[in-house]
Formats: sequence, structure tokens, C-alpha cells
Amino acid sequence: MEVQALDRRSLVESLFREHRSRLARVAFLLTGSPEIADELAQEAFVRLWPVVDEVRDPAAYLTTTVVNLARGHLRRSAVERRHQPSAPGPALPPEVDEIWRQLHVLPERQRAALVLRYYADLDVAAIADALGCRVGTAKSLLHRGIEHLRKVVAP
Amino acid sequence: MTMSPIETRLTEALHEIAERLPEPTSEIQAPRPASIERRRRTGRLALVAAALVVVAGLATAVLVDDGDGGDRVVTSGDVGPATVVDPVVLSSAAGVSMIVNGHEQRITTEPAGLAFGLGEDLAVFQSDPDGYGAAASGPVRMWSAGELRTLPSDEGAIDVGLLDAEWIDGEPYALLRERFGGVSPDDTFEALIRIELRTGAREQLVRTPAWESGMQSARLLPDGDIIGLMSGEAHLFAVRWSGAQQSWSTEVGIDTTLDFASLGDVHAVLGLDDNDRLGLRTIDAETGEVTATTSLDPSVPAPDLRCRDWLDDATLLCAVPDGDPVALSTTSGAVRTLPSTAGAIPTRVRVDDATTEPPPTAITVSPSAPLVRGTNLTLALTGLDALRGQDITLQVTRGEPLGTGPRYAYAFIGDGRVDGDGAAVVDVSLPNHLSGEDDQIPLEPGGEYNLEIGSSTDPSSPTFRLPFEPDAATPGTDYPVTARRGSPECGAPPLEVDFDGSVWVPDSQEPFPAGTETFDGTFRIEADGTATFVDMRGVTTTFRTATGWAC
Repeated sequence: MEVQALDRRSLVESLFREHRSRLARVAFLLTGSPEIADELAQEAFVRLWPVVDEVRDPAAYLTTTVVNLARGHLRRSAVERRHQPSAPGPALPPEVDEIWRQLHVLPERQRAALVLRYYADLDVAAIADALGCRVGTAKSLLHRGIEHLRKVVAP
Repeated sequence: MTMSPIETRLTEALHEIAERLPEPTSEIQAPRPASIERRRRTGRLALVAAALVVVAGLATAVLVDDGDGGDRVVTSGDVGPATVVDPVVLSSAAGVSMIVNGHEQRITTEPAGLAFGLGEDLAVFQSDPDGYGAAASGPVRMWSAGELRTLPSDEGAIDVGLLDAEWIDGEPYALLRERFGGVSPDDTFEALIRIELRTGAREQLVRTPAWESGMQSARLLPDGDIIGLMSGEAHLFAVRWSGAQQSWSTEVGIDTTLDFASLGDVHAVLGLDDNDRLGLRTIDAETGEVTATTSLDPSVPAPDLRCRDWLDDATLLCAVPDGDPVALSTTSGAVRTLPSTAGAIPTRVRVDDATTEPPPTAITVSPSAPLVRGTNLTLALTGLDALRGQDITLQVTRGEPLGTGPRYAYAFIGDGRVDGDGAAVVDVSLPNHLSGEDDQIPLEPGGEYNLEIGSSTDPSSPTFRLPFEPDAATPGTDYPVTARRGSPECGAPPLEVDFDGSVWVPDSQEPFPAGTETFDGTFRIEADGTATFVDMRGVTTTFRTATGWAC
């Protein structure tokens, strides 16, 4: 049992090193908060720990967990959600800032679909898995999100 | 993949923003008990969500005292019987369709924001040139006898909105809001217009000032009165009008008020409460007093729900902007999905109570046990009025939902007879696979299938297709199954059990005497991956998975 626990720990630590940064960035793009992003990424690994032996695709599991945690966070902080998030560091170039602001105008699932597709580089099937919806719904979310940006973002 | 310019910009922007996040320095922490408990709860919710498919079952009531002035909180709980959501009208970017008794009729492919059915042959909807659904601004259209036409609006109106439709004294009416002016407080007002749909006759019922205020929603009552939600000076009021006269007015703000829904004697203001739950304030239609406050905490997050109408006096119909619409029980918090276009808005088909024609009856399907492949169980069916006295066959099929297109795989699961009340109890046996044209099509939990109910007595009778989804077997649980002898000419094993997607064969044939073709019993998957079969004599045999056999 002790050996199993050690193996599990080393496996999770390995996954942590490999995916930690990517997950935090996905969480950040979804929530707009560096602090929350760090917490959510941590929490995803905490949730993976007890089931890591059973999970077929840990990277997909972690991504789905982060998406769900971000969604739960946004639901709990509806008041905060009304305020535009700000990116860390110096001010963003105007064209990037415009995309960033419009991204956070979108409904949560549209935003999540866009982040998973255009940042995390997931295909539509993986996005559907992460969002817990059908492939057709994921396509629809992506289409509607892109259409919104196309309409409102200056060419 | 070739990206459009906006996709390229988005990709570059996301990477630039993400790179600004400092590299994390924290170390991974061991799991906290609270986190593990949360994970278990999340898993349970996921199971509840997976059970949303109509046939699979619903949550029963768990009422919790909120401790806040007698308010009631309803959360979802264990599984129970199920009901089909019907008759409804669905409007979306894909158009408008009406579903009655499991039959879907496409009314139009014009994108529509809100639509109402008045019986099975008449509907009214607001077209939506942008195809986004909820904020439709196009002309109000009527569908009658298979033809579409635009309802006339006042030429001076700067905005027209469809609010409701209802039968009054046997005649179908639509309720519209027309907005005028918009330049100053003095010239800006809204009028509520009632249109008799058979003749097109317009009648202005109410005229209200509308500068920085207006009618959010309104419902036409069967007696001709109107109850509406009016905003003004950051306050929100429910108001009843009888003709042009205001009967009462009640301030009804919930944190985020969404809509107002009316059916019979049930009138409720809907919104998000301060805990992001769906709040219902039930209003006495005679006095305007708030008589009850209920908070719903369904498995679909309340902020994602846009509930506009009642299916019955305990079921709300709600759109989910990025998903299939749902029916939400206000007594149990249970939700049922209506497979449709994402974001579709569901409304109840209005039935003319003044006619002698009985309202369409909903078909209900209640399984006696989880729908695990390979198990024997019964399905209790009601609402099969169109098949009274007929023999029926039940099949699981794969294909277009709700009778909108062809099927391409099927499996017979049982047959029975519909009694004089339109009810039937059918013994069924669920298969591992469906039969396709040339091969076997998997039947898997999470897949989308139909339960097809058709008459074997009268080929001209209607066939109904209802959503169907099998359940996965739970290890350690006993399920009723039948072990059968395979076909020797196919080289099949002497005895097998098809269960949970696999073929299982016994370690020993000894317990199964020759000459007997089938053995009923219970089947349980064990933790080590084997299975235990206990037949009706109490004899226990270990089974293991094997390669499937077919010829």
C-alpha cells in the first residue's frame, strides 16, 4: 500500500510538472484572475490525486476539472463577474485588450470553448468532453463565440 | 487548419495574455478530505445530470428549510419515475417546431426568438434576423394551415415585441408590445396590443409611459386580463390590467428578475436570488400579494436557465443559452432535457379549454429498474391514447430524434398491448447492440437513441419516438438477466450472458444441464472484473468476458 501511495505521488508530481503551467493559464483566461487561476489549477491536481490510477487520460481530466472549477467560481462571484478582468503586467496593446474585454463579455461556455480551442489547442471532440456537451454543441459554441468577436472587434 | 483573421487574432491574443501570468512557484499539496468529499458530490451531481434523459429517471423532492422567513429551497435528490415533455413549441436560430405526442412538426426554418403554439395548427412567433434567439427583434409572424404571414404592427412603432398568446372564449389571441417615440420622456410610451389571430383585429389594451422604463414581459390570461412585469426607476412591478384599468401593482424585485410565467391559477415571478439560485415568487392573481417564495437549486446552474413558461402547474420550461432546453420541476428541482438546438426556447402549446377536444396527453415511460444492457425489466407506459386497444412493439433505434428523420439501427426489446386508458406495461430485455444495415451498432451509455413505440395491429397508427439512453452497470449490484445458449452453427459458446456491452461466458458448463435453453437469474459484476450469476435454483457460477460471437 505504501509503495502504491508513493507511486501515486510521483505520478501526480510528474503530471504537476508537465501540466501545471498550462492549466493555470487556461484557468486565468477563463476567470481573468491570476490568484484564482493558481488556486483552481492546484485544486484540479488535488482532485486528481485519489483517482489518478483510474483516470485514462489525466491531462483531459485535469482540463475538464479546471473548466468546471472556473465555471463554479464564476457562478459564485456573479458580482465580480460584472467587472472587466485585467491582465497582469503592463497595459495590453489596444488590439489585444479589445479581444480580452470582448472575450469576457461572452457567456461562460462560449468563452471556455474559445480558450480551449484557440489557446489549449484542443479539437472539437476534446472540447465537448471538457464542457460535458455534444460535439455539435461545442461546434455551436465556437461558432457563436467567433461570430460575436467578428462582429464587435475592429478589423 | 486554415484560420480566419479573427481566429488568428484571438489565438495570438490569448497566448500573449496567458504568457503574462507569472510562472507558478507553488508545490503540489496532498489532497484535503474536504476536496475529496467535494469530488464525490460532484460525481453524484454528474450522475444526476446523466439521468436527465427522459426515460432514465428524475430526482425526487428534497425540501430544505432555508431559515429565511419560511422560504423553501428545492434541490435535486434520488431518481424516480419519468415523464415526457410534451406538447411544446421550440424556437431557436434553427427555426420553430412543435412537438405533440412525440411527433415533431417543423413550422419554419426562419430563426425565431419566441414562439407560442395555439393547438396543433396555429402558432405565432417573433422572427429573429440575427439568429441569436433570445433578443429577437424581427416581425411577428403567424403560422396557420401550413402558411406563414406577418402580423401587421403600427407604422409609428419603433419596436415590436411578441409577449404571449392565449385562447380567450375559444378564439386565439396574440399579445404584442409596441414602443413609440424614444426622443423624450413626453413622446415615449408603450402600448399592449391584443390581436385576434383569425381575423387580424387589433385592440390596444394598455398604454404606459416608457421613458427609461417598459414592459419586460406579460401574460394574457384566459379571461382577457393581462399580468405583466414593468420596470421603472430601478424598480420592478407586477401589474394586472383589466382592459385599460390597473387592478393592482406589486413591487416584486428579485436580485436579477428574469421573467414572469402564468398558467391557470399559478403566476410566478422568476429570477436569481442572492445565492444564485432560481427564485420563484408566487403571486395571488386577485390581489397581487406574494403568497410563496421558493428557491430552486437544480443540477443545471440557475444562472444558465431562462424560464419563460409553465408546462404544467409544477413544471417550468426553460431555455439554456448554450445547451438543450429543459423542463424543471418546481417541487423536486429535477430537470429533463428536450433534445433540440442549443439555446432553443421552449413554451407550452396553449390548448383551447372551450373546445370539446381533449388536450394532447403526455406519454410517460417509467422503467422498473436502471436501463442496463442485458437486463430484463418492465416499462410502464401511459399516454398512448392514439394506440388504445392495439398491440405494440418496442424497439430501441438510432437515428433522427422525435420522428424527424430516418433511423439507421434498431433492436426489438419487447411487445405488449395498450389498454383502454392508453397505458401498457411491457416486459423488455435490453440488448448489447443494435442491428445496422451490415453490422452491429453499439448501444452505449452516453449515446443518443430513441425508444420507438409502434402498433403491430394497425400500420396506419402513429409511431412515437422518445429519447432513450442506457445506463452503465454498477459493480456489486444484482441485475435480472437471462443466460442463453448460443447458436452452435455460429460456433458460439454453449451458454452466454450479454450484459453491459460485453459477452460473458461461465467458468463451468456443469451447472447448466443440457436440454434447457435459457436460465433466468441475477448477474453481478465483481470488483475483480469477473461476474457472479445466481440462477433461480440458487446455483452460483462465475462468468468472465469473452469475444463476441456472430455469424
